[in-house]
Amino acid sequence: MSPEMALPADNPTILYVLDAGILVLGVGTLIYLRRIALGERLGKVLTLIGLGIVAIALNHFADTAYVRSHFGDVSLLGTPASHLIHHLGNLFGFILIFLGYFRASRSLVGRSVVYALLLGWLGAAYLAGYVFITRNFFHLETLHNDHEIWLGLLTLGLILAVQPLKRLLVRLTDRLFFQYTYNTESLLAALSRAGASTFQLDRLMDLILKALSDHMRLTKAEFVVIDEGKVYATRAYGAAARPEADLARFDQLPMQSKPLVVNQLEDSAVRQTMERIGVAAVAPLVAGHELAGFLLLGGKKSEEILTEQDVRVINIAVPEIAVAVANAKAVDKIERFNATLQQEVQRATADLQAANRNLKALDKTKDEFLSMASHQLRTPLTTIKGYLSMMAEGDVGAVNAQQKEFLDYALGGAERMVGLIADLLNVSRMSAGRFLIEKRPVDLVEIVADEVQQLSTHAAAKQLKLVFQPPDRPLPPVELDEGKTRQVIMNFIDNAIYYTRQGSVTVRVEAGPGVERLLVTDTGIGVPLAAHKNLFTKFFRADNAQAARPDGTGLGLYMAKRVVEDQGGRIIFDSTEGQGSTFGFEMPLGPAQPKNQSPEPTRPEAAASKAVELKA
Amino acid sequence: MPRITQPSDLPQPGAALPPNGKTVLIAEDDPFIARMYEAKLKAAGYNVTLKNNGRDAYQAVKAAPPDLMMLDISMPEMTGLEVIGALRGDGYDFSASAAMILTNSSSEQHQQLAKSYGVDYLIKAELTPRDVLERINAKLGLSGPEPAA
Repeated sequence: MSPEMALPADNPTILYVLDAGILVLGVGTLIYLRRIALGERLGKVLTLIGLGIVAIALNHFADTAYVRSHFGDVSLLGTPASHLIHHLGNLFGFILIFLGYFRASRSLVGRSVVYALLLGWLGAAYLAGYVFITRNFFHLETLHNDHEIWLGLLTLGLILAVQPLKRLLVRLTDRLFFQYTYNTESLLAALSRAGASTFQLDRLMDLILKALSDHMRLTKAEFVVIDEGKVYATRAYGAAARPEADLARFDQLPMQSKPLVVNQLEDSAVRQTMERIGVAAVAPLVAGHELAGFLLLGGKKSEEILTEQDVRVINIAVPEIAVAVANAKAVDKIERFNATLQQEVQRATADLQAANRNLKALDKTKDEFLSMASHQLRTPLTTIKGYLSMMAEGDVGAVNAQQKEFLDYALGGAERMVGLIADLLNVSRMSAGRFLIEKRPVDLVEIVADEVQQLSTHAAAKQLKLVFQPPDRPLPPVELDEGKTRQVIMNFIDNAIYYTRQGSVTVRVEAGPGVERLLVTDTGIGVPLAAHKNLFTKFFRADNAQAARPDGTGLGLYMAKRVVEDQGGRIIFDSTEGQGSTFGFEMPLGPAQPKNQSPEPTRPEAAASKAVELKA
Repeated sequence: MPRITQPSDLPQPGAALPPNGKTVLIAEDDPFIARMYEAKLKAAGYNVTLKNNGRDAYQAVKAAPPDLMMLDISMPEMTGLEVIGALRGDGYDFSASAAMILTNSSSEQHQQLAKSYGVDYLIKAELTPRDVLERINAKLGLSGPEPAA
């Protein structure tokens, strides 16, 4: 800032534009600098000082340039002191202009500039006062050089820096003297952060207690969370948890969000309790008209009482804390409920499993009992039936017609009983669990051939021809429940033999499009037309069946139909009374089956058409 | 009329048919049922041996193999199925000497076992003695009396 600065001559407009440009640049840079975390306060102060300096400097520079350019002689500016006063006037003018334009103060730039100008104006005013005092009261010839102005500005800077320096000193001595007056904003910020950071009740309480204790330098702080009138959880920081008996007294506290500070209460039971426990303040946490709990604050470590500021901060923080705690409590309750639910479910499952096991054991016992019972019931019936039939057949002497008639009646009764026992067994075996279809790939031809073989004696005993006609080619396996399907096959063939007095029973296995078929044809008594419709229903017996098989149960065909249809198959039936019947089923080949025959090792028996003939 | 309490009170039935040269062994522990089959088979010309427990039956079969053996399952000493199992273990030739299980048990296990041995499984209560005779005739390839009216 020497008066002999070299300047471009004779173009003041450019200079003023330059002024404006440098001003804006300066402002921008300082604001930008401020953004690099120098600390809020420090940043602000620096910015303002910087802007002030820039404002004054530029103003001075502008004036000097102007004067020089127009008059060529800077000394016309007068002494630096008077120059300062000149600055004041200028700056004041600028302030008015900017205030006029940026009255709403919404623009950051505008506000910064106004503050800068204000500060510059204040600084210049200070300097002017300094000069005036030294000149007139101390008669010092100061400010001959411009550097005096810089000295003045430095002093100004020091004044402004007093507060931050003081705070720094206090922070450093805080450990020794606990004189720390905390920053309420940072405490509230910490509490807000704590409230928002977690839903876990324990963690939330820890964070809040820690924030309060550390900032306010408390000896202890404690949380008591209430749920449905009872203590739900407690948490303490700096002291052990309290026995509940004392807490009960706090129930009488009025439902408000104002904390009760011990020294502000009247002498009451509550106050006595608080003093006894060493609690300096109790803040009820009320969220939505419900008491969520208490915050118990111990005294300060420095043994001071809680100040107005402290009470204010607590007042502000308590509603937020109350809500956070109420939420966390809700979440905690849900989690506890979940855990209980899990346990309940596990217990219920274990119970069910035990019940299931019991049922299975019971089922087994029932089975064993039924087997034994049927065996025991059949034995005397065998004797009754045996001897009666032998008598009726004349084995022990000729019987007259009436004797035979009576014997036949008795025999009939015995036969019915045999049938009833078979019913009993069948029905009990039909119950749940027995009718589970378990499929495996089986060779239909093989199992049919086996059943035919087993019944060959029966057929022979009745002097019937039993013929098995296998297919001309080996068939692919079918997905079947082998055990149950065998029973159906046996049932069909056995029935055919029972209900045929003379002639033959032909068993045929053949392949159709996507299916495999079993057909059992007999030359027996046939089924009357009227009985066709209900033939496969439970316990149904056609009229002409009784004579041919007195102990028939009426369940065989019903079971056959169920087994076949449960496996996705179809029953085949046709009959003419007096001529014969055809019973059978058709099973679908699964979608996984290839259309063409799968290469199977051919069995010698199946290669040629095998006819099992047994002649009596 | 004197009360019939024991089968032995009845007069012994005589053979209605001439002997057919076949031997049948019946293993049955119920005396009434055993007597019943014995009467029927003897009348049909069979040579019948009665045993009332499994062990005796097993030894008798080993000593003198019959043409056919009819075995009950529930018997003292050895069950009918155990007898067959033991005979199989001894390498008994069943093709020359057939076996049949004649029982009142409805157990599926028993049925499966008999099936695996390849022997017929007959339920006594469902058959009259005549039916049983017809089965035996068929098994041994003999013709029997005409079917009942």
